Amino acid sequence: MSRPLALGRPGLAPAWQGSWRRALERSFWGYLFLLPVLLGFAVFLFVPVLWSLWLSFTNTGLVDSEWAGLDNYQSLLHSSLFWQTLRTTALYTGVVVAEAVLASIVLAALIQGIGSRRLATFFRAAFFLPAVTTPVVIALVWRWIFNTQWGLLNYLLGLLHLGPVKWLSDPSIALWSVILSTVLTIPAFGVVTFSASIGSIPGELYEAADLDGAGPISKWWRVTVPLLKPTILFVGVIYTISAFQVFDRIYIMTSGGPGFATTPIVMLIYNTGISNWHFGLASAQAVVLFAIIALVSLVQFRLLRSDFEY
Amino acid sequence: MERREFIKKAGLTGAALAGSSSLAVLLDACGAGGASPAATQAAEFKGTIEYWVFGYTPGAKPPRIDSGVAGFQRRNPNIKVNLTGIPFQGGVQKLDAALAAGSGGPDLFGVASDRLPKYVSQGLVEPIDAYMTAEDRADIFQNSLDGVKVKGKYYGWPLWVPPVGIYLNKKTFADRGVTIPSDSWTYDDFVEIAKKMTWTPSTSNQKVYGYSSVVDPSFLGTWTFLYAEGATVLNKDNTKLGFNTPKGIKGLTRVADLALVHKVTPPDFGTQKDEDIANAFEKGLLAMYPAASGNISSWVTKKVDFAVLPPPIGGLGKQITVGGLGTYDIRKQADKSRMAAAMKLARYFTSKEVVEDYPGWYLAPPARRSAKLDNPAPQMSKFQTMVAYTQLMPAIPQWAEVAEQVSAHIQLAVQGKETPSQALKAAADAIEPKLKS
Repeated sequence: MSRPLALGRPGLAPAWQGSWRRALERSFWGYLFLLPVLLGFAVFLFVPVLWSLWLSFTNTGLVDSEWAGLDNYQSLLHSSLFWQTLRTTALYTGVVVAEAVLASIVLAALIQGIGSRRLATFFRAAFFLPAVTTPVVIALVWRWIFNTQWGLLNYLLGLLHLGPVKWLSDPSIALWSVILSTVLTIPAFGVVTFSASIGSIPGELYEAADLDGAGPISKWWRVTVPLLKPTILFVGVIYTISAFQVFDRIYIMTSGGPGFATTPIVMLIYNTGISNWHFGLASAQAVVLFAIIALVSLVQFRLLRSDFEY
Repeated sequence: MERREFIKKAGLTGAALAGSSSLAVLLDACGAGGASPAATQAAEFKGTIEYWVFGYTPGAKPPRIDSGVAGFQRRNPNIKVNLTGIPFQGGVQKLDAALAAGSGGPDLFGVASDRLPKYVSQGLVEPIDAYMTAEDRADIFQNSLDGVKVKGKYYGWPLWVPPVGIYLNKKTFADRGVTIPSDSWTYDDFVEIAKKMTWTPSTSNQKVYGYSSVVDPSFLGTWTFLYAEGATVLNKDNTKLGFNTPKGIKGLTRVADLALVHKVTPPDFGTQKDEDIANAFEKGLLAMYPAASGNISSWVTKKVDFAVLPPPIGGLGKQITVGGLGTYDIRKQADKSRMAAAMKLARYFTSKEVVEDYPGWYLAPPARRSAKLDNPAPQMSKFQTMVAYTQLMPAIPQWAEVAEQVSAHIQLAVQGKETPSQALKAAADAIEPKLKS
């Protein structure tokens, strides 16, 4: 009968086993309470992601499935529509994330500068309203604003004897209209997060800067911004992921048209998988999107990594 | 793979179980000279069959579905029907998932025929050939039967054919002093009328437009202009885009000209949604738009005075339109007697008998000669005459992709971003590799 090799003294448990046991004894209840969440994470997120990866190497219909190797990825390489949707999504994400982070910082700083605490709280609550409003409703309102015949924007332009502009029906303008509707919607999550972050910067740092003769801009640039880097990273990553996954706003406003001018990658995935039953190809598209988001997030982590602590 | 194997196994088991009764059905059919082959198997079934209905809510008024089911149960006391409503938005995905699951879903459901080839390709629905009598075959319009024919077999019981007609707002026409044209109007007549109907009334600062249409994959209203020139969406063997021909290009040029040359359409023509067009028509800001017969009840309810005409005659020289085909479909399953009972219900829902039990059953022209469309709206009779020359779309699994590409490029053509020939070539380049695969 073979026995496993004991690395420690005969008759005693090896050192690593002891430390494992101690760690388990120390954290047993903690892990036990975490178990439901971890199980949920595994069943509803981790397994579907792995399954999707596997599906991307198959030709899978509603029922049928067969191994396809790299065919789906090759098909994506040659699909002009896939590249067009990637460009559309990248443009949307680039503009929307940059604006959202910048606008969040500026608005949070302005709120912080308000002397009255009550007024600051009012503005924080007011700016958070878009976050508790259904995105579909916001998109419907914007569709009305952009309506060529009886929309608000063309009405206002008409007062100036300008227009009408085909905001959502001209393929060269439609994507910019969707972007405009997004950037003009207050980035509620960012404002609240930056407000909390700015509020927690110790006052002594600004007092020290005052003593060194720093002006408001210098204090902003040399004290506030460096200390906000972790928050900028966090908000930037969250907004990037959200922008890459844009669907509902565009679905309501343009349905991806005219032509495919406003079709984002997630809408292509939806159409490929849910409407056309090419689940393997749709999974390959989703895997590419996952890789792009992971890569962009990695770059953001590298660029915005901060050594400051307070 | 596993689900596929399950269904295959289920099919084999079912075939083995039903082996003896199949012979009986065959003999019965031969001996009875046209009695439903489903009758024997359905007679063996005692229990509940599951029927999934889009947009159904229990107790809804008018009680069309409830009355239809009640009528069937009266005629077949051994068969109980359990109704499940699924929403129009997202309901198809629920249905697909339930069918893929292999059990627990519907025995009977209704969908447009363009979804059938996909279900057939996945082995999810049962052919109706063995359940149709000779009378059924003779009674159902041939183009409707062809609409459910996939790989040589008939799948789905044809229910109704809603053709695309042109709705005209009679009050707007009267306000402008334009007479409603006859059914035999031509494209040139149509353009002349649309030009007259594009104006700004002195009493309003809002412009009235002559014509508009939804252009999206789920609605083929603008396609009538291409069919009117003699083009068909695909060629005869469904391997090429038939629109990408001189006739198709001429048809699309005529559609684009409405916006770019004659300027009789709203500026956002091609990207308007259903509700935009309905609002404009109701308010008298749109004189004409294409739609199927389903819109009649809405305008009758809202007391909008309207007329319906067939699409204008084009280069083909005769009337033609496009349309959909509503069908009742039976899920493939091992229990043959249960399947036969579901077939019996589907046959009843698509027959003349259902009208005897609930006169308002048909909301669009029926797919059978014997079934009567009991609708008091005079406009419905116009749609009924259109059925004879309605072109149904090809029954292919790639249909959703074809409709998506063609619609997208029509949008670009009517906005002047692609010429008609560029638009149709681009659609062909995107579609044809998929048609051949």
